[in-house]
Amino acid sequence: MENIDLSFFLEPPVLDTAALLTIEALYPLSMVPAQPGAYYRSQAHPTDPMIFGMLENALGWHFGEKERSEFLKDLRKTASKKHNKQAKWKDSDWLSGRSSGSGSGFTSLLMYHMHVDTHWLPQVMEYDDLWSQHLHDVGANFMGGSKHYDGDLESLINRSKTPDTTKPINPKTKKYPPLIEFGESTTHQKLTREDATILPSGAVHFKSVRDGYPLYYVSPKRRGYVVPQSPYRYRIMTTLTLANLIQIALNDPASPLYLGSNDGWVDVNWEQL
Amino acid sequence: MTIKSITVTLIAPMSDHAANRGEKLLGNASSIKRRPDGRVYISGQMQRHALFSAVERLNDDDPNGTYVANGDGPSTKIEIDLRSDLGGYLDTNKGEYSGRRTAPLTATPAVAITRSDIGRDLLVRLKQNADAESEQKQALATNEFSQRDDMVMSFHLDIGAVGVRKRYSYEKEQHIETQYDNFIKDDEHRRRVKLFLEATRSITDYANQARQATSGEPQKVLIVLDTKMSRKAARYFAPETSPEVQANIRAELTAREAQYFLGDDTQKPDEAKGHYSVDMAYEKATDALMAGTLYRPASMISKMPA
Repeated sequence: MENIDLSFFLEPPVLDTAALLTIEALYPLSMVPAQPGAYYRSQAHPTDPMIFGMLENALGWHFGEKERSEFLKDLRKTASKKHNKQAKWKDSDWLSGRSSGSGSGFTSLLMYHMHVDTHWLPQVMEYDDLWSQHLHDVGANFMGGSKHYDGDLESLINRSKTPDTTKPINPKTKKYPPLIEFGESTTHQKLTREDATILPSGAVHFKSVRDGYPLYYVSPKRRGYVVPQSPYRYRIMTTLTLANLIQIALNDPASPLYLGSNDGWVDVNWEQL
Repeated sequence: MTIKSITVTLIAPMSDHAANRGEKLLGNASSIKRRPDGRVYISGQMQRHALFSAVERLNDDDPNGTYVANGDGPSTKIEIDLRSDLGGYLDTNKGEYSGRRTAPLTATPAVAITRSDIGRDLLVRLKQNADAESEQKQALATNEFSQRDDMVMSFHLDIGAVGVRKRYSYEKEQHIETQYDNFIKDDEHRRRVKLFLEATRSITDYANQARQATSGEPQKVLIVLDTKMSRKAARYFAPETSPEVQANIRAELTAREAQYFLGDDTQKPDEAKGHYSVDMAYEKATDALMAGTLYRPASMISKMPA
């Protein structure tokens, strides 16, 4: 049993303690703030929620989304009982639970008691990496996305690439349609895999061969990386209680420290001013 | 001392290689991955893939009932599947605790120490069928490769997280209780940690392996059996790290009673002076690992079948 003490949250967020936070990137970082589309663009520097998340890692607070919101609700209730009589706190973000959000659904427990005040940001070198994103999909994408499939399907896949010269040429593509056509409309028949593999020609529903493919398929994505030329430095305003907690945590972090992705290793220093 | 984490950073020379292919920048053959400063690199994803291939091969010698799942389908059974235990997983169909795991084992991209010289090879596909209607036309393609690089790469293992799952519950008075569910016996735990260390010197599965025989086996290595969760030593062989900085890193490790082992195949080994070859460094680190105390969270709840 280990206990995590979250009572810092019950103190009013009077940010009167300053600290200098230095983050040194040990390897290239990829800091993508929001759910992107096809291009994972990295920021040149971490967002505030990323910094808070990194500090929470050091503290060992790896709470999932659901329990995180439960804990927050509970803490807020207790804090409200104590402090909502005071006009100063009555409608504050801290007690009402307003948050700016991180863009990826992460809500930090630290955000009311910590403020990134000033920053000194390094120059960064940027490059794009090509990343094989593994996706899990119930739709039809798995067929084009996976190089691997069960050997039993080989002849069927071959027939799906073989022109059927008995049928009329498709005027659009100027080619004969294939013997086997995959699809997901109502005209595509759902067969067992055994029946599908011996079908000489026809329209086959994707689901007939789904279990002959891996659960995941791969989609190449571009992902940005940045190489900072010097450390990131921040002046952080916080409460004394939290500053002490973080000081202890960073001297002996509960887990390895990252920014962005799990190959974005960082070395972190915290100095109370 | 208790060993909490292991950092391995190493230099592997590679020649005439394209260890990691990127996009097709020049027509129809893929280029090698390169940073704007002209240094070729191998992505972190490829490093993890290659490391797990090595883990799988080594594990097959004496699996102790375990296996390494395919990269495209990790299970959530950390008690027997090494990929899900060491590499983490995300199964969105399961609940918070059972479906999410952060990886205890992490790898960085491998980056060349200096600017790389890129060569281009010409590949020709001959038209074999003289029939004018033939689909297969004659084609030329250039294939990029890098002439010679010293690649720096690092690996890290969070020892306490191996074979263990964390759970949280809200207690009264703003305290969160952390529970650790343990899925493996201590000797299996030690076996997995040793497997990781052994794998870092056995990496061979890079792109185009069938033709290129590119190997990531180290020529220089720093192995740190660390008393805290730190990865600063990963900078040890970086091109901008001066001998003074290296000395400071060593002093810092000694000050916190971490054990480190430096191996260098480019010099004559001299055990009295502590100059080890790569092989000696690995031997000594493995001995220290087998004799040392490995960190496991206090008060674990056993989830092993009786």
